Amino acid sequence: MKPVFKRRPDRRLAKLIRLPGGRTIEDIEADVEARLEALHDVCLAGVHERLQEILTLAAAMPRPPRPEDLQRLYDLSNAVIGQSGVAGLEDLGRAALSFCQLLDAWRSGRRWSAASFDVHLNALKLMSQADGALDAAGRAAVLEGLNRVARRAAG
Amino acid sequence: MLLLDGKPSGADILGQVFHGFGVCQAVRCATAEDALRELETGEFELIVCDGDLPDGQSYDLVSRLRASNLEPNRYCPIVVVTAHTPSAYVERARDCGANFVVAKPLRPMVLLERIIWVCMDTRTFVELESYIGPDRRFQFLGPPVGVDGRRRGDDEELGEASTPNLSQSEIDNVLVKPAKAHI
Repeated sequence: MKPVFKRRPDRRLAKLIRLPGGRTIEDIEADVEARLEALHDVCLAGVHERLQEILTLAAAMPRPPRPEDLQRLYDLSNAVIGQSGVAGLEDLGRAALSFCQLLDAWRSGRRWSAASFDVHLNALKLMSQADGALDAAGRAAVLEGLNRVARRAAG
Repeated sequence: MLLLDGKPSGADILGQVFHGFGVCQAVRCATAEDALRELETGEFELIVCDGDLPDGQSYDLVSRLRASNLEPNRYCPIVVVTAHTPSAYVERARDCGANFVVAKPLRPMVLLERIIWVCMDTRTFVELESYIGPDRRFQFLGPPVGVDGRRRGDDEELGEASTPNLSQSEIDNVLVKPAKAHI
């Protein structure tokens, strides 16, 4: 059996962090927010583009979907999650996360459900409307319902 | 630092976040192969990679880097960012030698806190036949009950707490709320 080696490598970044001075967290936060604000429109367009791809694919694919369709939907949903925060569509990101959980369960061989699929697609469409077809409480209730569906699918 | 993200939008977001943190030199790569080439020629203090690259490329890259002889990069802190993070992905990231997993959508201040935590982490870097990377044990809980420990220090007894337990928010304030950061 190979012996176990342990070491404490030198980390320059840790030393830099310990140096006195630097910027306050408030300054950093403001700087990052300003930089991400510049990406807002691009991310918003990207989220809507991905969402449209999801809906187009969902309408065209056979039911139950083939493994490659599930994978493509999963990748697109992941992309929506990644951009949703900067686009200011956090609830859409949460709905997409629930959709990913659902797709992941089906990729792992769990039983397909058209109703669970459709309710997620409808919720994604609803959450993509930034002007708010639902108030905060309504959105929270929808997300809670989606999570319940995804948890049930995952067994 | 090195940023590995296969999606241009993801790379833009990460790039702007780290620019905001004050990182002046960030090398962006879109594939694990590109990243490996950069790691072979440059020295990095931090690696952030997208866990959603196809075919688990990021996890393979981390394993290859940890097992390589690319010093000092093989000891570099590595943070994996992923969108959907089922426990299997977190376990995979842990077992390939990554230091931390951060979920998307990225909250910049959470990412900064995690990076500071990773950098200040005092866990040793271990090399075993089956695993190379930061020690995967976060806590030392002593030997199992009723078993004599084999390590120096195992027989030390922990004293009773002398003050009330801290609340979670107090712990968070102590551990992950630095007043200043300098990267």
